[in-house]
Amino acid sequence: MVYANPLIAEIDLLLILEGGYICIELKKKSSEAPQDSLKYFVNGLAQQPIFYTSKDYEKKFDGDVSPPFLMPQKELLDELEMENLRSHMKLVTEGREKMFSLDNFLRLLLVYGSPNVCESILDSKFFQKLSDEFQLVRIRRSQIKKAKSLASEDDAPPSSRSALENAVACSERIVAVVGMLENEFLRQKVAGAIGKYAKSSTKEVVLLCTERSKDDAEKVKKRLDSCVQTKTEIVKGAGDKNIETIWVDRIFELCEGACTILCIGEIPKGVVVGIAERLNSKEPKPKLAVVTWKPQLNLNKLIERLKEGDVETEKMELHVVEL
Amino acid sequence: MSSNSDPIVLKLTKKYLSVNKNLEGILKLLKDLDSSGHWVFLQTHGMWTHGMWSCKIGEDLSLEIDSKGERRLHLISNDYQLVKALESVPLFHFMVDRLAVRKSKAGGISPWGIHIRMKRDELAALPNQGIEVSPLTFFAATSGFHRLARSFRVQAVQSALSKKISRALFGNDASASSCRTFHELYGICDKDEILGAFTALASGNARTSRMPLDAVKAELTTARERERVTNACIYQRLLEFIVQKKMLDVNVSTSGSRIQLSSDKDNEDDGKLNDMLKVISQDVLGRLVAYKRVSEELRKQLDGEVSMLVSFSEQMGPCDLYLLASLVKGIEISTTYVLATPLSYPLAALSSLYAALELEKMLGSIRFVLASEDVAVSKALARFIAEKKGEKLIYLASGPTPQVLALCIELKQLMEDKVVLIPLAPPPAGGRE
Repeated sequence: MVYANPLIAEIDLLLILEGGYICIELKKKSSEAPQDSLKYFVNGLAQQPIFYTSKDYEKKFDGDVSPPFLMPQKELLDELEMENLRSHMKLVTEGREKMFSLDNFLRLLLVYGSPNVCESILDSKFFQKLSDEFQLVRIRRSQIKKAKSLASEDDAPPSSRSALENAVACSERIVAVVGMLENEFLRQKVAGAIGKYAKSSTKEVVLLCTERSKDDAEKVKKRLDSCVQTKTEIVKGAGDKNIETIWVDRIFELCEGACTILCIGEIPKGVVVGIAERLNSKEPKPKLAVVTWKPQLNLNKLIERLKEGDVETEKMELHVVEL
Repeated sequence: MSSNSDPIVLKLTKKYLSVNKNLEGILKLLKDLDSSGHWVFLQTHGMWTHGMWSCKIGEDLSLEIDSKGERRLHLISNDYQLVKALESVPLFHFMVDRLAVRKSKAGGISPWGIHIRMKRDELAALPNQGIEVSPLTFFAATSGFHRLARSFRVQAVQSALSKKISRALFGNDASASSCRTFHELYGICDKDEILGAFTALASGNARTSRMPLDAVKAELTTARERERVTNACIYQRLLEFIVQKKMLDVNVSTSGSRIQLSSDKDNEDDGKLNDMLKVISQDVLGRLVAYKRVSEELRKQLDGEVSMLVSFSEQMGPCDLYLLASLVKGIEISTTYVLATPLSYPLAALSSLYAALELEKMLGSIRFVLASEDVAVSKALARFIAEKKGEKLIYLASGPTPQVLALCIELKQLMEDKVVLIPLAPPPAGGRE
C-alpha cells in the first residue's frame, strides 16, 4: 500500500514544525522512488522512508485514498524552522544510532501503518516497556499517535536509564568470527569498522573462518593489514567432532588477557549459542561485540545542504557494537 | 479446452483474513476463521489493508503465469482502494508484468486512474479456470526479486509440503499429524497448493537472472548470488514442465542429513524431473533438517512445564511452527513467544495466527512479539521475558546474529540454568561447515 490518508501529509508537516523528525525523502527523480523504496522496505538500509507528495494532496478521493504525491522541496523548506529543530533532532539521531532497525520500523509505521496496526503495536506491553526504557521509542510513539489521530500523549521526560553506550575498546586481541561476506562493499565496510574499533592497545586481530569463508576473510585481512596486525585462521573439522564445537573451542583458546570476541556476518547459530554458554566461565571474561549498521547523519551538514537546496541522505556505516 | 501452452492461473482463496486489526485482537478474530471472510494479504510490511476490512477482493483476483514466467494479474473490481493499493506497492511492479482490470458491469466505466495502464483487449480477457491457493502462495507468486520475496516463495513451498516434511522427519505419529496445515485452514487441498507454490517458486526464481546487478549489490546479502543465477535455469525448466503438465506430484523423504524431493512420475520424463528436484531440494528444504537436531536436544533435558521463545528469521514461515508442533511430543509448553524483527514481521505474524488457531494444543498460548535486531532492544526483550515467571525457557536461536547473541547472553545471565539454548540451524554435516 501505501497508507493513503491524505491528511497524513499535513500531519507530518505539522510534526516537523513541532520539532518532529523529518520522515520525508525528496527525490530528484520521482521515477527512482520505487527502487529506493524497495531497498528501504526490504533491507531497512535505505536512507529514509519515501514519502510521495504533490500539490494535489488536499484533494480527497473516494474511500480516503489519494495518489502518491511529491512535495516540491522549496515549498517545504520555506516552512521549516531548521535551527529550532537542531537540538531535538540531535536527540532523535543519537537514539536512532542505538536502535536503528527498530526506529526504521517505527518510522515505517508513521508513514505507512494503518491506525489499527499502529495502535495495537504501540499499546502492546512490550512496546510500552520499550518506551519506558528508551526516549526515542517514546518520541516515535507520540508522533505516531498524533499522526494517526489516536489518543495522543505527551513525551515523557527522558528516562534516567541510559541506553547502551559503546565502551572504549582496550582489547589487546580481537578474535573475529567471520561468516561469508561475498559482497566487496560489505568486506570494505567490515574492515573499516574493525579498523576504527581497534585502538593503539590492540596488538592483533585474528580472523577465524572456515574453508567456505576463508577467501572473504583473506580479503578483509588485506584491507586491515595497514592499520593493525592481522592474521586469518581456518577452522577445520576433525574426526567426529562437530565443527561448531571446534570453532567455539578455538575462539576461547585464542582469548587470552584483554580480548574481544567479535561476530561478523551471519555465523552458525550453534557457534553463537556455544559462545553464550561458555562466556561466563572464561577468566578474564572476554568482551563480546557484533558488527552492525548504524546511520551517520551530520546534522549541521544536513541543515546547510537543505538550505542550499541540495538533497541530503542518511549515510549508513558499519560499526562494532559491544554487548 | 486448455492446451499445453496455456498459462497456469492461480486464484486467491475466497477465505481470507484481515491483518488490519490489532495483533492480539487478530488471534481472537481468527477463532472463527471459517466464517469470518476476513482477509490477510501479506505485503512487505503487512499493513496496507487499511480501509479494506471485509472487502471481498479475494474473489476478484487471479494471476496468470505462463511458461516463460510472465505474469498478468486479473482484477474484477471497481474497488478503487484495491486498485490503488496494488498499484502503489513498489515491489508489486517488480513481479507483475501486467495488470488487467475488467469492468464490473457490461458497458460500465473502468475504475478511475487505472485506464492508462490497461490495454483494451485486457478488459475482456479473464481466465475462467484456475486453482485456488492460500494467501501465502498467492503473495509469493506476486512478490519480486529481492531476497525476502525469494524467502516467501520458499516458505510457500515448505508450507504446502508441511505434512509430507513432518512425516519424513518425525514419522506418521508426530504430535501435529492430526492438525490442519496452513493451507488446509483455507480448505485448500495439498494438490492445488503444491502446484501453486511450485509455480510461484519456479517462475519467481527463474527470473532471478534478470535481476539488475545494482539491486543485488544493494541487498548486501551474504548469500551466494552465483548459485542463485545458476539455479535459475533449473527453475526455468521446472516451470516449463509444470505449465505443460498442469500438475506436480512430489514425495518428501530423508536421505542422511538431507531432505529430498522426488517424483513417481519421473519415468515418464526421462529422469529429468528428479534431477531438477534434487537440486531444488537443497535450495528449498535444506534448512528444515535443523528440526531433527532440535528434537534430539529437547529430548535430553526437559521435564515439567516450559515456555518457548522462537526467533523468527526471514526464512521461516507457517511450516516451521507446524514442524515445531510435530516434535514437542511429551513436553508441556505453556507459552510460545514468536519473536519477529521488522523484516520477518509479516510472515511471523501470519504464522503466529495460524499457530494460535491450530497448534495451541502443542505449543501453548501463542504470543507474538515484535522486536528488532538492535542489541539494546534484544536486551530489553530478554528482561521482559525473564521476569515473567519461574518456569524453564527454551530459546530456539535463529535470525540475525546480533539479536541472537544479545538474547543468548542476557537470558543466560538472568535465568542461568533455567534457560536452554538450542540453535535452530542445521548441524554441520560430517565435520564440514
